[in-house]
Amino acid sequence: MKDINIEKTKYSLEVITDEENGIVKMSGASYPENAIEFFEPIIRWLNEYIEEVGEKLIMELKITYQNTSSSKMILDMIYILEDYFEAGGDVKVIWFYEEDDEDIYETGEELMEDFELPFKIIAY
Amino acid sequence: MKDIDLFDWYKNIQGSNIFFAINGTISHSLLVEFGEMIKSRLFQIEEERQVIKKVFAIFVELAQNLMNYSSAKVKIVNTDKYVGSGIILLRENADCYEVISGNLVRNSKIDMIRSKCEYINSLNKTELKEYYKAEKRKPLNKETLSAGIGLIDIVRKANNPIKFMANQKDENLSFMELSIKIMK
Repeated sequence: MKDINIEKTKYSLEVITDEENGIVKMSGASYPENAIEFFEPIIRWLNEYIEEVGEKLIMELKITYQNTSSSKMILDMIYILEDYFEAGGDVKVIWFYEEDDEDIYETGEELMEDFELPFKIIAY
Repeated sequence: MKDIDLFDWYKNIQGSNIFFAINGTISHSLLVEFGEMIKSRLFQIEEERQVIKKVFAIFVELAQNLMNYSSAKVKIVNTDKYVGSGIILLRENADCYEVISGNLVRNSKIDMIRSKCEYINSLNKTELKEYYKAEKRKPLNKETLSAGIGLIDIVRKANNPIKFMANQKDENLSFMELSIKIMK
């Protein structure tokens, strides 16, 4: 399967997948024109990785701003990981927030509350 | 085309402390440019980065709301895209910033939006969080790209009620205003 490497813009995330090490990294601000279109390849990658590789999977999220449709798509991606976790997959989500950014911290905390999978919140 | 009395217009907005105003269509690329402008402007007048981020986030959410839902849509030249048209204002008061949007909406939708705002305003912090989470679990509307949570998100970020106003323009359309304050 092909890895994803999307460069960041002012309004969309940098996305890097690493099949060999089972890592997906996303960082930046997210308010693309069409959130479904933007996140669709990443969701496809996750599903393929789980289906074809089936090894450990770490998702690192370093979001500085997300509009509501992006936050919805990010939630959907974590649901995919949660299903994988429930099926016995080795999964971890790491949520990064800038030290004084309460809103982003709270967003991470709220996500953590809703999932069973290992979820870490780390300040930078 | 109607003549503009600029002096009259100038007198009208004196004292309203508006530092950003746009009337017309907002494409996505313009939204991004305006967002950057607003951030740079706020960096000059506001020390609290959290406040700047909140004002920016609320501007983006209200602008995208307008782009997607305004009943006055304009076709972008050389594309098959239509974007909504309306007004967005930002102003600075002594104790807060205020983001205001105004656009045309079908009369038939006014009651629904009004009751949604009233419902959101009636919830306390914990209830808002639960409502937000419940709505977020619903699938995204593929046509409007709406997660249905924009208004809830705005109220949560601002920690203030959203003000709703509507004036009927004709038998089909009303001019709807949404405004929200972000405390300094």
